[in-house]
Amino acid sequence: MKKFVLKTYGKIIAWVLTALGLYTSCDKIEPRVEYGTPTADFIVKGNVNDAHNLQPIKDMGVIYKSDMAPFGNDTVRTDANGNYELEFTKTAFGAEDITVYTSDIDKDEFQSDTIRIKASELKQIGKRRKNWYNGKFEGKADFTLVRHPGPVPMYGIIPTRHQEIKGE
Amino acid sequence: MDTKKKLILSLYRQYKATQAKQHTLTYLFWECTLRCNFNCVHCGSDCTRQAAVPDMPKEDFLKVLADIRPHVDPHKTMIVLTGGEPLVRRDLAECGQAMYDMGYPWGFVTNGWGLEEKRLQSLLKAGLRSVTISLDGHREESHDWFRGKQGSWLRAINAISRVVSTPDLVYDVVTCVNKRNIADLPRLRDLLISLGVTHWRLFTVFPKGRAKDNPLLKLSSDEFLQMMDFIRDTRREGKINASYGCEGYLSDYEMEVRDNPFFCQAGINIASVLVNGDISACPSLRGDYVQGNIYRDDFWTVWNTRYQIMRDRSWTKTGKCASCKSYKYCQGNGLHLRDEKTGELLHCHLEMMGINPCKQRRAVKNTNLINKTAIL
Repeated sequence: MKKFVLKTYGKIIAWVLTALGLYTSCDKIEPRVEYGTPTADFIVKGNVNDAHNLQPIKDMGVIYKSDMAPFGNDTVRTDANGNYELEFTKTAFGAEDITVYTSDIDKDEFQSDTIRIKASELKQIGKRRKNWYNGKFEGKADFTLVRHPGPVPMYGIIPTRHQEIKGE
Repeated sequence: MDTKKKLILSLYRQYKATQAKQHTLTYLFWECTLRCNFNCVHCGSDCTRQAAVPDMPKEDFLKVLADIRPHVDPHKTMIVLTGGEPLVRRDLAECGQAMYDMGYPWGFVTNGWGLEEKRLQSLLKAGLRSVTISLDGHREESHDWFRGKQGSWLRAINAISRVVSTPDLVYDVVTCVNKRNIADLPRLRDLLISLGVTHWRLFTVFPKGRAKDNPLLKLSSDEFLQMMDFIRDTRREGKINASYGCEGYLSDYEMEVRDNPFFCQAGINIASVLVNGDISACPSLRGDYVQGNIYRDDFWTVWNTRYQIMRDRSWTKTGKCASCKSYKYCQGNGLHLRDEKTGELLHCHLEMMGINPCKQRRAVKNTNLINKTAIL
C-alpha cells in the first residue's frame, strides 16, 4: 500500500513538473551518470504547398540545420502530395525549439521559408530512458511558399538568374 | 470570389507587406536611350528618332552597378535595358559584357528590328539572359500600323524565331491589345504556338504618352472582358503560357489570367535609372515619383532612405479608392496609373471590367464570367 502511494505521489510530482515546463518522461525523473551527452529524437512532419494555388509541391527540400558543432544538415524531400517527415537526433535535455526551413534545391522557383517550432508545441511520443536519453518529440510545420521572382513589370522582361556562358 | 482565392489574396497581402518592409532590390531598369527606330502609336516614352536627351554613357550606369554590388546579390539582381529601343545603341554588347563580368543577369525589351542573327550571337556572348519582343498582330497590317513602321512585323517574326531556337535564353512575346487587334487574338495565339513560343504577355495601354488621345487604343469594358476571357481560356488550354501584364487588380480574374496575384513592386523590388540619371522605379514612373539622380545622389542611399511614397501606399486611399471594397487587395492599383501631381487614380481596372468599385457589382453583363456578379 505504502509503495503504491509513493509511486502515485511520484507520478503526480512528475506531472506537475512537466506542467511547469520541466520535461520528464511521464512519471520518472532519473539521475544521470556523469560524462554523458543528453540526446533526444525529433520528428517534424508537415506539408509544403504553393501559395498561389495551394497545390502540393513535390521534391521540395526540407532541412533541419543543427545549431551545434559540427553543424550538419538533415534534409528530406517532399513526396508527390507535398508531405515530408524529417527525423533526427540532437543534443537536448528535452523538448527544445526546432527550426526547419525549405529550399527549392533543383529549380529555385520558390522562395525559401523558415518555421520555428516552439518547444511547447512539441508532443512527446517516446519516453525518457535512463542515463542521457531524453525521449522522442514530434512537431508539425506546414509551409506555404511564394514563387519568385514576382510579376513581370510593365515593359519589363522575364527575370532570371546569372548563368555562366557555356564554353568559356 | 471563392473562399480559396480570398485566402490566397489575404496571405499574399501579408507577403506584400513584408516585401515592402524588406524592399530587396531585385530588378533594375536602365533607360539606356530614348532614341528609337519606330514610331509606335501607344508609346509612353514619347521617344523620337533623334531624342533631345542624349544616351547615358555606359560608364555612368556601370558605376551605379559597381557601387551597389556589395549590397545586393548580383546573380539575383536583374538588369533590364529599356528605351527607346536598346538595340540602337552600338555599344550594347560592351554594356552587357561589363554587367555580365560583374555577375548581373541582364536582358532587354526590343521591337526586334535590329535583332539579326549576328547581333543576337554577339549579345549572347556578352551574357544576354532574357529578351522580350513586341508583336502586336497576326498580320503585317495591324502590327505595322501600331508600330508605325513598314516591314516591322516580318522583322519581329524573324527575331522571335531566332530567340525561340536559342537554348537557355529566357524570353517572352508581348502584345499591346487594342481595338484593331483584339478580334485577331486567337489567330495571333495560333501563330505564336506555330513558332514554338512558350510565353506570351498581353497588356493594355493606359492614358499616357501618345496613347492619351487615340480612341483606337483604349478598350471598352466589353472588349476588356473579352480579352480577360481569352487569356483565361488560353491558359486553361495549356498550349502557351499566356498572361496579362503586371498592372491592375483584376478581382475575379486574379490568378486566372496570370501566375501571381496583383502586386505593384515599384520601389519595393524595382528601381530604375532613367536616361537623364533620374532614379525612379518602373520607367513609366516619372515626374513626382523621381527619388533622386545618380549625378547628384548615391543610388544605394536613395534606395534605402527614400521611396516612402511607393513602400507605404496608404496615401492612395483617396477619391474612388477611399470607398472601394477591394482596396485591401488592390492598394491603389499600379502607381503608373495615378496622376503624378494629384495622386488621383486615372485608370481603375475594376471600372474597366464594368464593376463599380464602391458597390462591387458588375454593370456589364458577360455570360462567360467566372461569377456573374462580382461581390467581394
